[in-house]
Amino acid sequence: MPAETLYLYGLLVNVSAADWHMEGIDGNSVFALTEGALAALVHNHKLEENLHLPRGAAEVKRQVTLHNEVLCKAMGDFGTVIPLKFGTLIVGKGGRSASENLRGWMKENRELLEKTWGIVKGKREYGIRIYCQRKRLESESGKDDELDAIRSDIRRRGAGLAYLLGKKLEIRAAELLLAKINHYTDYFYGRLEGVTRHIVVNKSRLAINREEDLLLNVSVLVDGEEAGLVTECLGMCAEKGFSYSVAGPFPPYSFVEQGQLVK
Amino acid sequence: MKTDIGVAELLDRALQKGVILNADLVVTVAGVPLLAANLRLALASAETMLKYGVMQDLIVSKPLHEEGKNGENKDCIITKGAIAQHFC
Repeated sequence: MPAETLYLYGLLVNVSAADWHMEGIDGNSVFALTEGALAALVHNHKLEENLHLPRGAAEVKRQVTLHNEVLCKAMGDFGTVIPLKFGTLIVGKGGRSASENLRGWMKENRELLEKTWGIVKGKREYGIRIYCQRKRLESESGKDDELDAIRSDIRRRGAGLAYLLGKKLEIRAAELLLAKINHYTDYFYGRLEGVTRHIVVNKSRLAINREEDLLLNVSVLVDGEEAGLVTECLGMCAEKGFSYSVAGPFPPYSFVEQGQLVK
Repeated sequence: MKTDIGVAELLDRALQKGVILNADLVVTVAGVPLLAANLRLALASAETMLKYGVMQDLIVSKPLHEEGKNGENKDCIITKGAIAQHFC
């Protein structure tokens, strides 16, 4: 089992962070491990502390919150931070200590990290969820000549054919509803994309705390001016009768994933 | 009931996103990151947690009718029209 591990919170580029300290997960002292112009925010981690089964969701929530608090503090102090996924422990390996391994990784990825820093600098991530009322969309999409024709036909036909036409009606109504949903999803996405090209669709389709259906769940990365424009976009969204929620600001978690680093 | 959409949004990000280092630099047991192995809950997204009822004590549902009279969204960290003001 490795003797030394480092818990890694985030990375900084071209800032003076040598004297930066704060309290992190489980009261550990977070400090900046520097490598040239790069700095990694870490704490020395006692590995044996994690050789236990999880103590429940509340424990996970508490640790994730502390992970995020360190990143938010760094974001405030240095303009931004490149966040690491929660739970990253660097190990000593191959005759090299954890700090040597981490410095080596930073050195190898310097160019990519500098590029990423340039993208996220001075910007914040917000989570935006736009909701719709299914009944309203059904009502909108239900105004269709073909639907009216099928309904009219059903009234004139016998039970057997009316049943089949009923199925046809259901399929047509579902197609129209889907088209309506796609229309609004594309519309709102397009409006937000017009404000910032840094927009990512989130996987979660859960309508948290809502009885409405989730229409769009995105993360945007914006500066102060763009934040105002996003606010305007959401105001327009509300005017059209859609509700929304905004969460943040967050460190730019959604914009530093491997696939996002080079965009 | 207290609602906490911010926690769900944070978990969705911190548990699934952010920079991921090469596996050979992080602590692993049989190829699985050790912290993750011991904190299996942490691997699941907030959505999965909710699906299986794990997070019910942390994120509770609020009926729509409890929202503000003017359609205000009370359960988000930043409310309507206030993004710019909260930008720091």
